[in-house]
Amino acid sequence: MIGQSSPFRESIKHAVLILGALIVILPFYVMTSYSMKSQNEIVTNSGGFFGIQEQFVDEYCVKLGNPRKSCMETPIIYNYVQAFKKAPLLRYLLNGVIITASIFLIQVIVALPCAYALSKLRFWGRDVVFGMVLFSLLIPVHAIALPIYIMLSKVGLTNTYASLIIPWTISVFGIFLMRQFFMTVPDDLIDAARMDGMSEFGVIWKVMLPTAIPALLAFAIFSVVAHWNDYFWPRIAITGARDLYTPPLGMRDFKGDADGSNWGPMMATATIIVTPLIVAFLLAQKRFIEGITLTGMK
Amino acid sequence: MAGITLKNITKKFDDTEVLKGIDLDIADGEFLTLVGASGCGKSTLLRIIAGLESQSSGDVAIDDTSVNSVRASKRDLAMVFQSYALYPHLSVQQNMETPLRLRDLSFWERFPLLSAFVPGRKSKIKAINDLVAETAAILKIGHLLERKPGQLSGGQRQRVALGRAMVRRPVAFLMDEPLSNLDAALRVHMRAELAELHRSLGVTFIYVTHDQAEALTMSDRMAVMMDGEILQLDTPDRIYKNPNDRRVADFIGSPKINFFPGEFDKAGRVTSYGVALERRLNTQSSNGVIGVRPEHFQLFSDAVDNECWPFTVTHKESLGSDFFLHGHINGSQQRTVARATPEAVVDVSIGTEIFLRAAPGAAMAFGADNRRIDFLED
Amino acid sequence: MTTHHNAVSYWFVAPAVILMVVILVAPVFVAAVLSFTDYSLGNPGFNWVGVTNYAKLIGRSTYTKMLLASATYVIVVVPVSIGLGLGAALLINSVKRFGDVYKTIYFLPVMAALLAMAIVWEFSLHPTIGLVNKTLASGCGTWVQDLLGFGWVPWVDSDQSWFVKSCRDGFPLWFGDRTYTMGTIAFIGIWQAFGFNMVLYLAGLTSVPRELYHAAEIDGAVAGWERFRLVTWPMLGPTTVFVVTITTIRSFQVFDTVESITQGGPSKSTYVMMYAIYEKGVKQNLIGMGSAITIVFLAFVLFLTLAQRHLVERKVHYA
Repeated sequence: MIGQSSPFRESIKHAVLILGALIVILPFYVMTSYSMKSQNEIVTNSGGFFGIQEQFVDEYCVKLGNPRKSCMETPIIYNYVQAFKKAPLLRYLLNGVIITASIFLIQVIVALPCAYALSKLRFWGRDVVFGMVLFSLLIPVHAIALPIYIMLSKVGLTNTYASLIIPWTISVFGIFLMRQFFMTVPDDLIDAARMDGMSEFGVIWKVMLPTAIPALLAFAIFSVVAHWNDYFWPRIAITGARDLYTPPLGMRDFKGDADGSNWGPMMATATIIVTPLIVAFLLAQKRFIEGITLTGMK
Repeated sequence: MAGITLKNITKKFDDTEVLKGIDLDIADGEFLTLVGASGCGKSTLLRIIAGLESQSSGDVAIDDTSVNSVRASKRDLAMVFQSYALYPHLSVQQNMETPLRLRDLSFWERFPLLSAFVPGRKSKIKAINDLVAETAAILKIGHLLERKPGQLSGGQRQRVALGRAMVRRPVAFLMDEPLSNLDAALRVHMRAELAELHRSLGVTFIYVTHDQAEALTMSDRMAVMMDGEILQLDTPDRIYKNPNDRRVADFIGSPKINFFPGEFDKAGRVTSYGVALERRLNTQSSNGVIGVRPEHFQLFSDAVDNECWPFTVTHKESLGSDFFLHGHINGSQQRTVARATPEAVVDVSIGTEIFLRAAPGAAMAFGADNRRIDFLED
Repeated sequence: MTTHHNAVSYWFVAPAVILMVVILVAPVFVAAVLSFTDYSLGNPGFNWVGVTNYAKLIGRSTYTKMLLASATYVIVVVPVSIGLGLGAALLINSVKRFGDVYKTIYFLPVMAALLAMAIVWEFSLHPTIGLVNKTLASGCGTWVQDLLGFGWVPWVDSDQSWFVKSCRDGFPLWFGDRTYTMGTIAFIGIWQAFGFNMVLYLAGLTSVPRELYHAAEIDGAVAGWERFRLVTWPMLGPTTVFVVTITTIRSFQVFDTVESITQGGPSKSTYVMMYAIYEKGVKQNLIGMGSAITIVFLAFVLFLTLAQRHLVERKVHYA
C-alpha cells in the first residue's frame, strides 16, 4: 500500500537516471570510441562508435623515407601501438603494479601488528599510541607532500621507487580499520592459540588475519585504487626519471607532448590506464562496493 | 468506534500462501487477540488491516465501509509496533505530537519559520499540546516529555508508543507483539495495565502475540492461527476448556497438554496405552489422540479402576503452591506432566511408580485429522 | 587479560609509531619552521624572514585569488556532489529494476584515474572539435534551439538566451573563458565524487528501520518529502557527517584537473591551494612560501574536521 508508484512515476525516475547515466558515461564513451578512430574521424566526429576502420597513411612513416604503400595503418591498431611506442607505457604500467603492490604489502605489514597490539594486548603507553593514531588521522599525506619531498631530497631519495612508496607505508586509516575488526575477534580464540604454544607474532598471521579477510579486502581495494590513480605525489617525487613514471604521470607526459595530431593514441593511452581497475570493478562489483561501504561505516 | 470485518482475506508472497482465506468479525470495543506461533500469518493479517500491506484477495471493511482502496494513513487506525518505532531524533513530546501535527495542521502551518505568521495556528498548537499532556498524564509519562527515546527504558518507550497511538483517538488500536521486548516481570505488569487501559478507553484493540498467556489473560476473544488459517475463534475460557482442534489444545495452556495415542474401535471405545476409557466416542475413525491437561490428572498410589495408567516419575518440580511431576506412562517414551498438590506428592520421588487417572469428563479426543471428537453422552 | 605483553607489543607498534612520527608528524614541524624562511632546495642555508610569507598570503592578489579559488571550489562541489549522491541513492533505492546498472555506471568515475579522465573531459569540452560543443551546435536551427532558447516562455526574449547567443557567436571555451573555467573544473570534480557519496548513502538507506516508515505512514506522513523529512534524513545523519567530512577534505585537495588542464588559470581563477603548493614549492622552488601555504592548508583541514566532529556528532547519534 505505501510507496506504490504508478508506471508514470517509475518512468520519470528512469528518465532522470538515464539522463544522469549519459552524462556520467560521456567521457568513457569519448575515450574508448576515439581510441579506435583515425585522426580525421576524430576531428570531424564521424564514424559511429567503432569508427570506420579505413586505412590511412601515416605521414610520419613517409617522412622517414618509407614508400607510401607500406605506411598504411588501421586506426585502432595504429592508436594502440603508438600508445605503447611513443612512450614506454608498458614500463609505466609495470611501475604502477610494482608501486601499488609494494605499498599495500608494506601497509599490511606495518598496520596489522599495530592494530593487533592496540586491540588485544595490554601494554604501558597503549592509550598514547592510540591517541597518536587518532591525531594522525587529521593529517592527509597530500597536505604535507612538500615537507616530505624536502626531507626525501635531503637524503637523496627523490626519483626512486622508494620515494614513491615510503610516504604511503603508514596507513593510519588501515590501522584504525583493522583495529575495529580485530576487536570483534573473541579473546578465547587467541587464548586457545597461545595455550597451543603459538607466539604473539604467529597469532597475528595465523589467527587474526584469516578472520579479517573481508576488512583486509576492503582495505586492499581502497589502497590499490587510491595509489594506482594517484597523480599528485608522483608528480612531486619524480622529477626527471621517466622510467619511474606511474601510469597517470605517463599519461600527462603524453599530453604534454601532444601537438594535437595524436588524439587517437592519447585516448588509447587513457583507455589502457583506466581499464584495469574498471574491469576489476565490473567483475567484482559487490566486493568493491562492500569495501567502500565498510570503510565508511567505521 | 467501529466494527471491523474481514472477508476471505488471502495473501500470497511469491508462491507461498501466507493467509488462506480469513473471515473475521471484530465487534466494536472488543479486545481481540490474534495468537499463534511465528510464521502463522498473524502479523501479516494485522498489517493488512492497517493498510500497510494489501491483501491478494478479500475485503477489509471498517464500519461496514470497504477500505480496500484506502491507504493506511486515512483509515483512522493507530498501531503500536514491536520495536515501538519511535522517531529517535524527536523528544517524547514531539513523537506524540507528530500524528496530530500531520493531521490537523496544514502544510503552511507546519512550515519552519514562516508558519509563525499563519493566523489561527497558535490555537491549534495549543490544542495539540493539551491533548499530548492529557495523554501523557494517563500513561504517567508526563515527566519524560523532554527526553529522547534513546534515554528511556524499554517500558517507558512502550508507553510513549502507546501514547503516540492514543493521542489520535483512533477507531481501533492495532498492536504487534508490543510486550515481547520487555523482560518477564515487566511483561506481567504491562499485561494488566493494557487490559485496564482497554476497559477505560472502550476502543477496539486488535492484539497480535505468540504468547498464549497474554492472549488468555487480556482478550475478550482470541483467534488461534496456524499456517495462515484461524483454527478457532472464541473466548479464552471456551478455547481453553473446549479446543476444537488438536493444535489449538496443544498451543494453549502451560504446561502443555499431554497427548496419548489412542485406538478407537467400531463401538467408539477408546484404548490408550493399554487402558480403555469408560466413555465412548462418536466417531467412525480408528485412531487419534487423547489429550489430558496436567491439572486434570488424579494421582493414586494403586490402581483404583481400569482407567489408571501406571506412571514412573523421572523429575519433580516444585513451584511452591503446586508440584509438577514429569515422567512417562509405563511402556511409552513420551514425557508426560501431571500437576499435583504438595500433600499428594509427599511420598513421591524420582523413580516412584504411581497411577494417573484422567478426572471424569476431562479427557479430550482428537481424530487423525486434528479435529475434536465428542464423547457420547452417557 | 591481566598479563602485560610489553616487550612484544612495542615491537608490534614500533614500525607504525616510527613511521607516524617521521612521515606524518615531523613534516608538519618541518613545514612550520620553513614557512618562516626563504629557503630553496639546493641552497646551502636560508634566512629567517619572519611572517613575510604569511603576510603575502593575505596581501598579494595571487594568494587571495588562491583562497577564493579553493573556497569557491569547495563551496560548489561539496553540497552538489552530496546532493547528487543522495538524490541518486534515493532514486536507485526506489526504482524496481535496473538499480544495479545505474549504481555501477554512477560509480565508474570513482574508479577511473582522474588525471586520465580529466584529459578526456578537456578533449570532450574542446571548443570546436569536442563532442559537447559539436552536439550542442548541431542543435542550432532545429527544435532544440526553440526549446533551449526558452522562447516559449512568455516574457523571455529567446534572442537573449544563452543557447541562441552561443549558436550565433560560438559555444563557450569551457576552459579558456574565465567565466566558465571554475565551473567546469567543479563540474569534473562533482562528476568524479558523487558516485562515492551515492554508495555511502545507499548503505545508509538500508540501515533505516522499515518500521519507522510504517509508523510514519500510520501517523499520516503521506507525501514522499514528508517521509524524507521525518524518517530518512534524520536517520541518515551519521552517514551525512561522514560524507561531508570526506568530501570536504578531498575537495580541498583537488589537483589533477587543475594541473593538467588549466594550470591555475585563466588569470588564477582556478589557482587552488594544492596547485599553488606545487607551483611555488616544487616548480619555482620557493620552499618558504610553499610551506606557508601548506600550514594554512593544514589549519583549514584541522579546523573543519574538528568543527564537524564537535558540532554535529553529538546531535546525530541517537542510540
